[in-house]
Amino acid sequence: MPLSTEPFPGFSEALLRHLARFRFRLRPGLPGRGVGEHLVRKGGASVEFSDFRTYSYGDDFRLVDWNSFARLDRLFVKVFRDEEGFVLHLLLDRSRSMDWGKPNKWQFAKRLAAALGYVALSAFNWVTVQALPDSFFLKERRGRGMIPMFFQFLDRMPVGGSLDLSAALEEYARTHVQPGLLVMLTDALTPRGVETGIKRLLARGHQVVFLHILAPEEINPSTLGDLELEEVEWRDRLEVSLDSFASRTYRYTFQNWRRELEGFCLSHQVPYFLLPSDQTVEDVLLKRLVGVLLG
Amino acid sequence: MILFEQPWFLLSLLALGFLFWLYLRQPRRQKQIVSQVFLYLRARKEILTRFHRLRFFRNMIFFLQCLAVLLLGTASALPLTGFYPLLGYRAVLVLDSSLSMMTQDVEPNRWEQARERARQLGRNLLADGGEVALWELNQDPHLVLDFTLEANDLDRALNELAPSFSACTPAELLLERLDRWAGERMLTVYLISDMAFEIPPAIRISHLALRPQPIGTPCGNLAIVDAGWQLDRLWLKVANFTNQPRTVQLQVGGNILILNLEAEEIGSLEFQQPRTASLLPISLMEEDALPWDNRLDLTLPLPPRVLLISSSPFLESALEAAGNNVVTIGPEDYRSEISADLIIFEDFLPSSLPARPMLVIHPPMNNSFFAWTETATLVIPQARTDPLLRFVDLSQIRFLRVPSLDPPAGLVPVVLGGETDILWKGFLNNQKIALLAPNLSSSSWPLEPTFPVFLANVVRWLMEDDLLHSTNDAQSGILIEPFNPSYQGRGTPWGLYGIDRADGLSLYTVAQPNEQESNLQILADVKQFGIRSAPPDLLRPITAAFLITALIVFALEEVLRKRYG
Repeated sequence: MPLSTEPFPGFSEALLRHLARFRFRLRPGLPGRGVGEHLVRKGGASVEFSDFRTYSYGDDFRLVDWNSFARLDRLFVKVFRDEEGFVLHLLLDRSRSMDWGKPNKWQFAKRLAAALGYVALSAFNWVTVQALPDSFFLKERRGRGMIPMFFQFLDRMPVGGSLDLSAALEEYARTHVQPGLLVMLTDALTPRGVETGIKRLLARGHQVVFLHILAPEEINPSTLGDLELEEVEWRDRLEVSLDSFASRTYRYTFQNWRRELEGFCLSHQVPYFLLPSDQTVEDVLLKRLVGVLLG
Repeated sequence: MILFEQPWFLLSLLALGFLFWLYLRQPRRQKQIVSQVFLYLRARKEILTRFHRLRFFRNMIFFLQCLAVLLLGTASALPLTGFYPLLGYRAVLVLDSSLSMMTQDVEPNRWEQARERARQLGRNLLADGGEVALWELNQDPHLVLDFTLEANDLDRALNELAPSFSACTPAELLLERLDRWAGERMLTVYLISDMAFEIPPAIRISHLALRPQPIGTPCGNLAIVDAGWQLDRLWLKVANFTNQPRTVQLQVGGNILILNLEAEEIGSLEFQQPRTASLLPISLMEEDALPWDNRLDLTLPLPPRVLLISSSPFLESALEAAGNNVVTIGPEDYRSEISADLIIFEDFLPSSLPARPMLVIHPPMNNSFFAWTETATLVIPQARTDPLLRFVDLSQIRFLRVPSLDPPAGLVPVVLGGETDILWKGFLNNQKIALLAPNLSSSSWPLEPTFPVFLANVVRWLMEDDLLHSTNDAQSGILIEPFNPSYQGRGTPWGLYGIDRADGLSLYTVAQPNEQESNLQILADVKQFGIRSAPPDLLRPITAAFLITALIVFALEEVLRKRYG
């Protein structure tokens, strides 16, 4: 059911109705939490038939398959799949570098996080939001009733601060032991890289998804000339003279960096998505994430 | 050598200075906030290896910008090539090589000084776009170098000149030579000599631009340095080269004039032109060691010979009052062979118009040139601004009857009259003509003071050397027939030949009428004669070439700028 309260800024009712039909595609074996709508492999009480097994003492007679007993003269009981909830960890990079680009990366990331959280909460899953740097944290929430509060939290979250992303991920892995689906929304623009942090998260049993959010100007810079570049996050300065060749060299360097990052993610079975901020949330969800993260 | 039609547009090249200033100035780098710099740092090593190439292309951009500005500035100045618009300045350097030139009162001697003077003079004249010829004046005066535009030719001729230094009387030889040049207009003769002779009074030096260039130790202390006339006033300039004030007595014709001069002063004197004299000898009463500059023979302009076919006493008296040489005859005595500078017809026109400038007053009703049948009454004149009406006020003049003339094309009205016009001027059959329609007895104008002024204006206009009268009709490629009314019958071999605008440039060619067209010489450009030049033709080939090149350079610069910032 779509939410009757005011939706997240920029979200239409139609989009929310669409999102409510999505379910996350989880890695088999991902630990669940509580009752939910997510089917797990192990036996449970749902109506989804899973398997037969030989009757053993103490089994519920209501689960005995009497048709098999009539044919084979042996007792078998039916096993059904269980429905559990899971925890969606939204790690949202709110460092100053995210507040850049046209369209703004931060606004894009918040909308994307809101959409993913809405999908999870609509299916009675747990959602927790961790802003990096970590002064903003939303404790695990569950159920559709939490959607307005979730939206409000995201909407009011400010951008700012400097971030060592890898260290922040390591810290998150250390402090949040409940494994779940962990979606990182970040530009990963940090010289130290993110590899160590992702490894720590994987070691904790998280199913990690890397949504790499970049502005079009970062992918393909168009400004040429004699420039004094000042980094928005660390205030580092660099004087460059950009001509078309230098611009091409930058693009080549950028592609190498991105391929390294993507290669690392693929080698660790972390789905990687490069998402330019000039895309719409609808396009990202329906064309990029469906089939991999959503189903 | 490239000349320019609009040379002041070359001032636009000052923009080059601005470009240099921009180039030399170290501009602050544009500050830009970015989300990261570490990727730029990784790429920087690659970028730095390209720095020299980048600098080369930036210098190339600057060079192309300068080149584009240079080409545009040059194109806007409308460059002219293919001909040299001479200033009509032709000069003959006459180098005296008589024995006295061997005098060594100056180092090394007068001859070497004269040769150096000729060299410098010739270079200056050639630099101004003139033509220079060189003559040697000795026992056998001869042409050393024909008219040339090249300074090298003159230098070579001067270097190879080996004078004979024979004793001779240069004055007579000079007289003979000057007589041969007397008919040539725009010719200046520079006589480079020690002036150890007296120029005979018979040499009409005022008709010829004779510029003595004395060589050697100055031995005179007083000199008549210049003379001329303006309207009926003559002026004279006398120099006192001494360091003492002098009172100079001058004999002008039969009169004695006195002029007080301060030390090293050139004083001037004005006096009325004698009515009858045509050659006015002027001399200093006090002779000094250099006699040639103590005398001057001023040839005065002869008064126009006016043939008046009229019975009006107003016309004759007014013309004579203006100093004209008037011959009055009746219509029955008119013959086309009668010699005159201009003819005035009143109430009469011959069957064929004479080949002279003329003023026609009230032509008869049934003439074949200015026919009329009707008469307008009580016509109030409305004068236009015109040289014919200078100092002529017609506001109080009324004409009782004015024939309604229909003048042929070529005449433009000068005084309008409502129903019919009163005065026209223009050209008819290549002759200057002024046409006054009303009968003089139909108004009180002949009794007014403005009437003789008007006649004087008409005579002056008719006698003017208006060589370029037909340029208004000149079109590209049209060759105008030889025509020089003012000089016909005066023996001058030069005249305006035509106007050629075939190539988009206005050239005025002057030729000797009895020579072939191949001998045409370009003498002057359009501006010298005061004719408005042709509108700037941007598609003139050389201008277009400059513009197109500039555009190509701009395009190239734009490509480089986009590529290399």
